Amino acid sequence: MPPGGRPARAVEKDSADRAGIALVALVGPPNAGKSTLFNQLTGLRQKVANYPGVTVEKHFGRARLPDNTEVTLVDLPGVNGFSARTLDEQVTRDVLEGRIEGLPVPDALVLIVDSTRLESQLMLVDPVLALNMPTLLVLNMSDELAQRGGSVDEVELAAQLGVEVVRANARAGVGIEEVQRFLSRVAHGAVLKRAERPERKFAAPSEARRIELPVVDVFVTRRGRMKVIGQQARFRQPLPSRMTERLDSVLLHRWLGPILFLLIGALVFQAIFAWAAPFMDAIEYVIAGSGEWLRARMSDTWFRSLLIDGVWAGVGSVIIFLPQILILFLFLGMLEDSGYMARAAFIADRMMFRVGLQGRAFLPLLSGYACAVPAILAARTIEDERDRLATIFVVPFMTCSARLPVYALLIAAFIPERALLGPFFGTRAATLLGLYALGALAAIGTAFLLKGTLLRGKGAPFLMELPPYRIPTLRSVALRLYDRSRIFLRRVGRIIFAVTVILWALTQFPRIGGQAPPVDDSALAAIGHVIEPAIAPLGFDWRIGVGLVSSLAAREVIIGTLGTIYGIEGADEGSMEMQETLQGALTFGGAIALLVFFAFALQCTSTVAVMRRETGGWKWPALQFSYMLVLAWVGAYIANAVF
Amino acid sequence: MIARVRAARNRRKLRAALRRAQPAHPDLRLAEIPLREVVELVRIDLPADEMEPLLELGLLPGCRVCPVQRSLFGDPVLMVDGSLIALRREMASCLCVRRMEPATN
Repeated sequence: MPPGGRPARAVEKDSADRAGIALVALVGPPNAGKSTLFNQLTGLRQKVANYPGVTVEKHFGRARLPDNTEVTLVDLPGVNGFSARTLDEQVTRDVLEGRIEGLPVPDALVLIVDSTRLESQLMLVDPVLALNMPTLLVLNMSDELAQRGGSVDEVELAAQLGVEVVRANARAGVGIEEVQRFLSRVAHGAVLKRAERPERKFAAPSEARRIELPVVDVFVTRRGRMKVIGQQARFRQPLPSRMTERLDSVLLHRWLGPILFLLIGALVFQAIFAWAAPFMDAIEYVIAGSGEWLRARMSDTWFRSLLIDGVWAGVGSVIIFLPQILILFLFLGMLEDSGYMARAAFIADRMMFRVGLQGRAFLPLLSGYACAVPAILAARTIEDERDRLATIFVVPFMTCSARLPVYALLIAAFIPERALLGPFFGTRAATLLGLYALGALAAIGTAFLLKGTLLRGKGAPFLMELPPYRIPTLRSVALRLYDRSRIFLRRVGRIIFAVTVILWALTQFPRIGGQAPPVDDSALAAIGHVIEPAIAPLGFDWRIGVGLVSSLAAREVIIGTLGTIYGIEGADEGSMEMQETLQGALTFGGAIALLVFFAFALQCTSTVAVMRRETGGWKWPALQFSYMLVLAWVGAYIANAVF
Repeated sequence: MIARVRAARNRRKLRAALRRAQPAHPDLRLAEIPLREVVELVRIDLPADEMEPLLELGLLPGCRVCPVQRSLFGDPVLMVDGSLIALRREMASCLCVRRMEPATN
């Protein structure tokens, strides 16, 4: 054994630097303040990764203690038990038992509970203590307990449970020092196996009763035991939270609740579009401007072309979505931390249940109108794996903002403006609305189809604890934003970067006299000619085909590509020249077919990349891509034939 | 001894028969309890694996439950031991409850 006294278990490469540093796991039920404590202890010294093979996030951090020792902390997902029914519970159990590759058995546990609901939270304490690991029990939100007239004798509780107990208020940093003292004792190897637990107050249930009613019996016995411990520790239940009662009487009101829910949804929607717009414009301006600035200062070589037209423009096309993503996650973070998210899921549940999904799917679907990538990430809040898969499968049907420029260009070029309902609602707006509806209908139909076939199942019973309302802390929301933007930029940036470089290369070869060939002779055109027979029935020629291929990187790329092919300078969705050229290149039916194609097809490498990451393999993204492509082709074929 | 075992078995059979004959002997379901009335949970009519999440949240036979809100579609929010738990109407009608008797409680 190494000097630290820890068995030299298999330590993975990336965690080799942890060798010799004690590992402490943070365990607790959801909404007990686990992550707040984790953030207090680690600050920015944390990493997020996925557990191998599953999509549960592994939050890791290094806590530097006042005596200059360090421990590694793992923030486990919030669970109510260890039945391993959900992925979260499974991962928690595996970590505690040391069954995760590259992660040794934790040296100690910090078990954090909401002391205002001590009795029901003790239901988790029992199985955790049964693991017989060195444990510190943190009674969080003890300030709230006192405010609402509750109390508990933590010394007696410690004696009853046989573990150390501290009161804390993690949000205000109260009790952090005690936790740190415990951690430094763990780091020094001074925390030894806990002494034998005191005599159980209840005899173990007889085998006969266990066989008759296994599950209920185990829980009823545990509950009885914990009630006695609560009484011994003189736990007095606090009065219900007045703030929560008052807010719920409005926010969960039969009529007002759904109305406010829709208003909040509309506000998020509006914020994503309106508030993000100036930032997006600014980013576009900076990227384009700096590209030009660089172009003027470099000689005309293939390298300049690669750097500016490939890399710079490609990276720019990703970063431009960052404001939308930050605003979205700012809202999601505040809704989550305030406790409203659980209520929103409850209100939306009935509606989503009809469609075959569940309440927690509502916000991811709404986010899908901005961008499918953060929406798919947001679907992590859905515990049931089938429901989560169904949700992220249909998210790309929501009309994301990358489709808008394409819709705007084609509508402007092909749909004559005529008033339908007075001056405010004309044929063009109707077409746009129709395209949004088309996407939503496809999502609903697909959800139905999935839940009836591949993801059939009784569906997890919708059961949700509604946490008390709390004011979100700046720190926690900021950390979340930091996390999300890092994941987005890193994972997605890499793919976009690769695709744009490949596309750029295809327009550059074969070289003719050391120069890039005319687009008609480039490798990209060759690909266009290859796929032409497949898209001819839709009313598209090879040029549109090349546009479709290039739009795989990101949907709006098709505009720039068509601009390149037709030799239009500064092509964007507002360009009159572009519109006129398209009118010559497409029939009316072909234009409608192209719109339908964009409504359905998964023309987005970022989404495919994030799907792969979130489903842990290529199976789902491949299925999703093919399904959406078939739907797009058939839809476009019908549109071309009808119009 | 044998008689006692037999009696226990008969009681179980009778209970099972009563459960099967639900329409004739309707139990009081949580879904029927008006808001703000505190009742005692008696039984959960769900298979074991679906019951477990309820048990983990402290919704178990013998506990006191009080519906505090009900949505437009009848989905209740329950107060159990100081926690708020939201569930679907369908599940609420699988929870058999008993009215508290003011004299004995």
